[in-house]
Amino acid sequence: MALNRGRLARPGRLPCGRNVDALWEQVRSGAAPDEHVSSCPHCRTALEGLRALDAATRDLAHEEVTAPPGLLERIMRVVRTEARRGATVPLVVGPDPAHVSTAAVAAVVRFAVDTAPGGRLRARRCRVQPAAGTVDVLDVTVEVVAFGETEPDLDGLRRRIGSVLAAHVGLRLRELRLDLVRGENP
Amino acid sequence: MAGGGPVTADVDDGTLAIRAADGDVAAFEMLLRRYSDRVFGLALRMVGDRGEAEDIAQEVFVTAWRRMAELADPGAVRTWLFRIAHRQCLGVLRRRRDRRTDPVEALPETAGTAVGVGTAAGDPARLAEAGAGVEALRRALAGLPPSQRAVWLLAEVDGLSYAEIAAVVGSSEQAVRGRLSRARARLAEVMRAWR
Amino acid sequence: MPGGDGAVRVAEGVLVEPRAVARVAASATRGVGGVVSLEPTLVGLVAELGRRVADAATGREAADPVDGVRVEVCPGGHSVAVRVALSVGGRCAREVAADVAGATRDALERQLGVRADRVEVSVVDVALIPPEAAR
Repeated sequence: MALNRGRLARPGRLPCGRNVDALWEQVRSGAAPDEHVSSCPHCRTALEGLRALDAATRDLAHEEVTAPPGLLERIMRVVRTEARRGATVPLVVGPDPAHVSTAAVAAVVRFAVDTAPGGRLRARRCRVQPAAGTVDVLDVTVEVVAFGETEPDLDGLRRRIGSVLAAHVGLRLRELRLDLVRGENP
Repeated sequence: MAGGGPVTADVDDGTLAIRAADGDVAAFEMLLRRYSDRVFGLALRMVGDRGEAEDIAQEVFVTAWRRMAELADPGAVRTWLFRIAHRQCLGVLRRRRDRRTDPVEALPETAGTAVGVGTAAGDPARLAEAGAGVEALRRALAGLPPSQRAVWLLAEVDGLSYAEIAAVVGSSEQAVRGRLSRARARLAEVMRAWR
Repeated sequence: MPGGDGAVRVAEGVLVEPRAVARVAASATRGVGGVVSLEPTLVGLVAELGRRVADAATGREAADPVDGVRVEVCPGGHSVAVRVALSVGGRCAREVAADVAGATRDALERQLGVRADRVEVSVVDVALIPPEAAR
């Protein structure tokens, strides 16, 4: 009861005037107790508790707690399903129509940016819209963060996005807007 | 596998959060993998029950997915996840307390279930030696008011700064210091008695 | 309106349940190169949202054979409209979608004698990590 009840002159202080939080810092840092602490009964009592707490805290903090694998799977099922509710882009028209989710197309665009040669580009926001009155043509806006000193090859990136979209999805680009942002740390 | 590009491990939280807010499932999955253990761990140590901790963690990440666009500072997604988790934990504990009208019945069960963290598979010798202290600490933590327990766990287990904890629990840094100090004093007292 | 959720009449006195149509459509879809998986629809997922519900039904881990396929019997009861939701990977999504529609039509006709008025394909995901790297 010595640490935080009635006998304390001020909250957090021992009857001898020492601050418990300061003692804790000493214990945590592994510093040797000063002369007062070694001889003061209040401090020594407090120190015992703090040392026991310190040891148990280290053990607790080092325990490996792993989320159950089923948990991740369940969360991702919800996320994937909700992501699908969004807008789609037509892929095929006719008696057997097909469409693809804009989220999936945006992911392909980001993939094209992220895997561009040099590895210095990262895609962020990406907007995908079907070009009005067309079937397999798209307008795309993508924010690209460029790291490093060299000027990114934007023409090369445009071609790359176009060919990756054609290969993975089968859609063509009408307009592609690249919003270039300078990255600070690589 | 599903959900888009291979987001590599070196992508920063801010970029992942921006993409996830944009509907990028793969980016969200990366954030989930990065933080699920810590969110689950916080929930487990807060409520002391694996099943409830799992429910809380699921709720945290589903909420995060739905509300990612509201995150003002995408770089602070880690703190934001802890904030949602903290709110969920307090909600679960409040409902649990409301259900239990008999305080005598409530006490031993809280202490007992707090032991539920999965250390049983560890080295038995090490457990016998170190485990006892941890178990005593767990029981001591279960005896703290939830608001103190949360602050203590965030500081000592998750290593958050005072400013980050203040953002998580929605109070001032000053209040966080006070709560932490009271929690520490109580825990030290219990631990000394245990020794 | 005849038909609706009832069976489809393929000949005098011969009825085929929509669920049987869905199974054949699912199997045909899985056989198309570039199809990674059929994807459960929102309706199918609602029951799984609760942790305990999902855990109790561990059998659900293996996807239901008709996850991702919806079948409606067309007015008149003589034909069906099929909707398929899937993830693709390793092949162009547009080509995969066209092949899925074709394969589904053929399989329904050949195996069940069921005529499809319409096969609609939704590509909900494009997997970009090669399967061997994702393992």
